[in-house]
Amino acid sequence: MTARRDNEIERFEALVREHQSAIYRVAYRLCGNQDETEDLIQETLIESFESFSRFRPGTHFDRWVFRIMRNTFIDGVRRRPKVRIESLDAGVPGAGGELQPREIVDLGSSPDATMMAQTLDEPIQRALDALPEEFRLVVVLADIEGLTYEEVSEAARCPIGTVRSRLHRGRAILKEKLKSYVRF
Amino acid sequence: MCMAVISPTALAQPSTTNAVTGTELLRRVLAAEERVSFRARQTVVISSGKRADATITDEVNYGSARSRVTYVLPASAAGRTVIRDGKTRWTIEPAIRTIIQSEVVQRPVPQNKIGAIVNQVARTYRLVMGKEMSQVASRPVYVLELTPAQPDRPRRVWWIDKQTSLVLKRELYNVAGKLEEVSIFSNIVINPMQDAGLTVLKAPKGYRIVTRPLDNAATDLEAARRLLPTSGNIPASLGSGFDFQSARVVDASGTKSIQVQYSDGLASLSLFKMPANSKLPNDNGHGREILIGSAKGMLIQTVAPYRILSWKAAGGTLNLVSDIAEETMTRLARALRF
Amino acid sequence: MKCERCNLRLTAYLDGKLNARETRELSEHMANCRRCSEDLREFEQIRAILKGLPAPAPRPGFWDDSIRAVRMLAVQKRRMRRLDFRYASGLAAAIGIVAVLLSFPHGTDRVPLPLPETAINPASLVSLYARERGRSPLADVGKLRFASSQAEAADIEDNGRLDVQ
Repeated sequence: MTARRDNEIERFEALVREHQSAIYRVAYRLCGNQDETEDLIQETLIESFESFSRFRPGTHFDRWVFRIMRNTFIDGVRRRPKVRIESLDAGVPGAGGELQPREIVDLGSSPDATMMAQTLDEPIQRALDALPEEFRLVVVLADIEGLTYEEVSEAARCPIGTVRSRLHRGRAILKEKLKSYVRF
Repeated sequence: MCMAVISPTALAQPSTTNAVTGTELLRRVLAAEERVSFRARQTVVISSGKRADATITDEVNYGSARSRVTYVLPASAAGRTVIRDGKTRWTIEPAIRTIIQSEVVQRPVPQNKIGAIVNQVARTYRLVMGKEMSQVASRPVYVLELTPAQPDRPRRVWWIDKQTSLVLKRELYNVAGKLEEVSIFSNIVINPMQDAGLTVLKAPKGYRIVTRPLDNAATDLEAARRLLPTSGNIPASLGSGFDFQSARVVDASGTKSIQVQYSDGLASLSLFKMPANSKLPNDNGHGREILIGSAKGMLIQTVAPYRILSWKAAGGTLNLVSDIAEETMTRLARALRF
Repeated sequence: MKCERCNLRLTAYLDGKLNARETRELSEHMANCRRCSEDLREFEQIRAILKGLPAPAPRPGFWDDSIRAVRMLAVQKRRMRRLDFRYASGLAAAIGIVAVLLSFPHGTDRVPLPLPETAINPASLVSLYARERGRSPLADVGKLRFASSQAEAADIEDNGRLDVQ
């Protein structure tokens, strides 16, 4: 019994180490800040280890963890206070306290999307934060993590049609929100 | 600018401004609430420290608790619509495809209660009329400043429509004297053509309707004390002008708790008495410890500008929620016997 | 094909999820519609930006700590079993135990069980405050609209319930 448990945790640890970047990336993009990311990952890992006997070796461990993370995340969101501190639409207060429009990044001058993504990391994250959780989950899994619709559907526990519509709505909202930063 | 510009209207009615006193104006504002029919867009900017947030709503109010409010901003609330038809209130929430249905509680203040509220406000605030002529949304207004006798609660400035006594613009200064809120109506139409369809719920397809149970509440102190046998003796006043206003039973994890609202007529405090095993919120470690008697209390400000002070007392966990100065909150908490 | 119909399918088009007929219809529409082809370009751009987001770095030692927490939980559960404790299952209890464990040196045998506590959600308290305030005369309507706009959708008029764990 003990030996089996030890063995189990060794295997679990090895899989976590192997997929840690993806796990962190998804959790971080869902939560938007380090504290909540750490909580989400730790809760998810504990849950995952609890049900590790149900993991089928040979299948994608990260996808399986995302599925558990989805529940932990959605449950967590429901019980945590979630107050948007700053609205993207509100502009930034100037020195005199008046509202000013945000600086707009001109995509024409730096056409490299990766560069853009790096400079816009913070506004993008805030735009992501403003998406309804279920939409955010789908966008993060599909567009940031590169999962297929089928894999997203499995991890997000919703039909493929829903993945498609949430992804569309999610991208459309992001597009609108980032308009003040990006001149497409 | 050093030269005063006097408009022809001001010359024609030189005494109008002086004839109205602050208390009379407050009385008119109370009498107009929920009675005047109008349509407008309301823009609210709240600034707290380095942050500023804007909320924009399009509002139609036909009086008698019939209204429709649609949120335009922030994006996270865009599309949310609150409809009241005089009896029922619906919040249509597109983000979760849900309609929350409840009873309408807000009503116009009865004429015979107006005097008492004006007196209550006048006990704590100085009411001063602005001298200069002013306009909001191209409508002539009175300016009324409501300054608390002690600077431990917000000061307000209201721009009040001369014709209808609606408050067209409000500024609220926090206890540090900083401008915290500006709300202003624009595109205002008084007595618009009424479209009855606007205050009737037309449920969008695929939305579920959740009905909120009837309130278990009381606005009379004796009735409030009978709401929950376990709640103890609800105090009639917290001191500093904050008198009992209403009480309501709320559900905390299946255990009944009580929320009691205290008001000085303008500022207010909620007092929650919750089960003893409730854990004090600590705002992820950002909370500050404050001693309430011999008990360790916790002061947090998760949702600026509101503060929450929580502490353990005999028979339960107490929480005060308000936007008044933390010193006053602490003082009221220390003096509280509940 | 109408623009709205086209717009709804842009994401699927971009991701290659349309059938041959739909793909052809969409391509034909876009060839003649500047607005929809602009939209497609923007969707493409958003997808590319998301893909290019930098990988966030965890703080040093984060993974070691997390794995240690799981290990401790495993050890703890074994002890519990040996002592034949039927302790409360569920995530909250498990995390409580891990939190307590982390504050003990390795190898400590006696671990106190956390008391069940109900956490108070501050946002719900404020939302209930705002609701009550909004019902009284002379309410700061704007400020309350703001408080309401900041609350989570599910928290609005929240059945008089405090959203607690």
